Amino acid sequence: MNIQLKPDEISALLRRQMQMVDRPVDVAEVGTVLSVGDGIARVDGLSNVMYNELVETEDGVAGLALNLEEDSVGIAILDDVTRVREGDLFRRTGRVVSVPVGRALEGRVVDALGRPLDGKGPVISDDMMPVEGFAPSIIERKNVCEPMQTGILAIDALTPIGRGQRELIIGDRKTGKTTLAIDTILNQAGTGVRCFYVAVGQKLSTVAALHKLLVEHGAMSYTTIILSNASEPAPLQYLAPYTGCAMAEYWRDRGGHALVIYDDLTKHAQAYRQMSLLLRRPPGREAFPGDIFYLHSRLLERAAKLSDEKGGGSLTALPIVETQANDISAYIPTNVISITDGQIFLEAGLFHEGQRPAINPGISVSRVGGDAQVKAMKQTAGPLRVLLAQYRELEAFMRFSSDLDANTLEQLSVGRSLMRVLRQAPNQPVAVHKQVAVLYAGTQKALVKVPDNRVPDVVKALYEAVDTRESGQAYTARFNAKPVMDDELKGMLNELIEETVKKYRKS
Amino acid sequence: MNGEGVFARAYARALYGAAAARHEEANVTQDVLALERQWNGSPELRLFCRRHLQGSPGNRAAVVQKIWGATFTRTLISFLEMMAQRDHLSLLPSVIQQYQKMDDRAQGCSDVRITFAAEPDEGQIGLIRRQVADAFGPIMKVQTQVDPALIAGVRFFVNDKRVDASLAGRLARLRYGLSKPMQPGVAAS
Repeated sequence: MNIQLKPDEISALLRRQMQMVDRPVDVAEVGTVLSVGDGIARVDGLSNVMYNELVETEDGVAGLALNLEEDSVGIAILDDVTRVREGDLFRRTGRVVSVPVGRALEGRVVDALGRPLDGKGPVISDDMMPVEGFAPSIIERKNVCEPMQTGILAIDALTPIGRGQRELIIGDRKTGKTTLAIDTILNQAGTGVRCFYVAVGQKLSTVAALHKLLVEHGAMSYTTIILSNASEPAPLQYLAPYTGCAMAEYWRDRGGHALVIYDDLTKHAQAYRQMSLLLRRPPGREAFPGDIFYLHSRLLERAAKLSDEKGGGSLTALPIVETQANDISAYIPTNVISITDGQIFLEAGLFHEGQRPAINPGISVSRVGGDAQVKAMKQTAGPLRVLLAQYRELEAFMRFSSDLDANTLEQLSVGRSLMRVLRQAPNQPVAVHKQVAVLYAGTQKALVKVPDNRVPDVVKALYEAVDTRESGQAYTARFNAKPVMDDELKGMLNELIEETVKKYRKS
Repeated sequence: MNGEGVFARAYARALYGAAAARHEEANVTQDVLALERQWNGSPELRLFCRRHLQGSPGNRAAVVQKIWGATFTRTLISFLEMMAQRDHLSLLPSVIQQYQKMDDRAQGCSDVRITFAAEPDEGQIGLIRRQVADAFGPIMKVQTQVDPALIAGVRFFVNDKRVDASLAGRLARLRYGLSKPMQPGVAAS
């Protein structure tokens, strides 16, 4: 970037800036730091400070007034805590924590206060929004009705997500939770959906790798990363999801569509627990404070599909929760499950068997996404859950009995081919019309006679056929014009599948 | 808050609450002022209170009776006995300070601390007094001091409010304001 600044322009800029900041007399309401430690300051004074108000020291160290007690105020320090000493003054700002929002954030990596972390200069935005906002009321909302395609066949078919929905991604560590979320971001290219990835308490190296991946796939142009890594103070980790939500709300309120990923709310809850204990709030179950449910419910309630009168915007939330040993009945998982509109459960066992994404179709549900599912997909995926359930049951039975009738063997074969079809490599989202084609082949038992190890080749060939063959292009055009699985579309698909699959069948 | 501050506030609140419950605020306040004078005037008393008291809690309470028994109201004596039983007499100056703050607040008395850059004259102090009286009421306790680090002007606190009209403060605000990135149309404050 070539910047040429003239001395007189610099002088003018400085003069203007000085005029803006120069005040001969400054009146402020202040409090004196009595003690400071572990990111929490106790302050004497600030008798009129509001809950959640932003306060600042003379050096500009920001804090959040969280505990308003009779004798003192408990302040969570949002900056470098070593810059605050006993006897320092905190002053009221009269405003709650606000962050820059809007186009200036596209492609940026910022911290929980919206400050840049990517070395691309300051985030200059005309608009600011408070990080804590109210969820839209009932009359401002509308039922989820538009699909939020993730590009992941297993999700789009079995647990479809709609714009404005809150779908939990839950599973043990290293089961592919973040990969699902990132794939969903990749699949939003060209859809107009703004994506916000909130990394809470994560390793910087992990986030750097994710950022690189998004850049390589050209997804950073519509994505913002809000980063509060594991080395940052707990108050910043606590704030980060609300910051991401506020940035996404900006688009929702202007009729746009936003997707926000909270990775992950387990660490967010732990950061809040740390803060609450240091603020001497009474601990409850697992030492979490009493308002731990409210912590997540007020965040996730802000995800919504707005009514047409309100512009029809949407904010979709994909919170991530980590479990221990597949235990979804722990405290935080049950809380978040009860708040969200469904969950995608990733099972470590399936992951190690090579079934990736390791989605357990039995426990995973989407309570509202079905209404938003593409019609053709809904029609095609209808029998899928039943077929998979039958397969899992028979598979367990097969371990004890070797003498199976032909019908059972066919059911097993169908189930196996479907499980193979649902396997998908990371960072390769698939368009919905291709998903429908492959799924149709699976549910119509077209892959039964294909050897198990050749199913991935057939899937790949089918994807290519949709793009390259004349019959495939005709199918795509018809699908885009009217995505309903009628006789015409079925005929086109049958022809395409027959052409593609025949050379892979067992002789 | 450090441990001493927490205890001192808790003790002061307990004493103020007891005095209010017995409608003895005025007498107890008088006694607290007398106790402060004793503390400031008697090195022996300070030495005694700062030592760890020996013996059982009952014996410690008896010592308090011996020293102050005939001097103060029953409320303050009971309070001092309780402090002695807990071996917390060393906190007396902080407790007295906190008690006076509470009493001042209850009386609507403003705590005014003025810092001048140079030795002030009566007119300057009077001007600030009048301004504070207009804004916060006529009852106030004023402390003044001189701090050349202010360079010029004055800085004063009225309870939680700080009014900074010093040159040092103005320069600090400029430094802070200019260190922030420029936002179009937003004053960096």
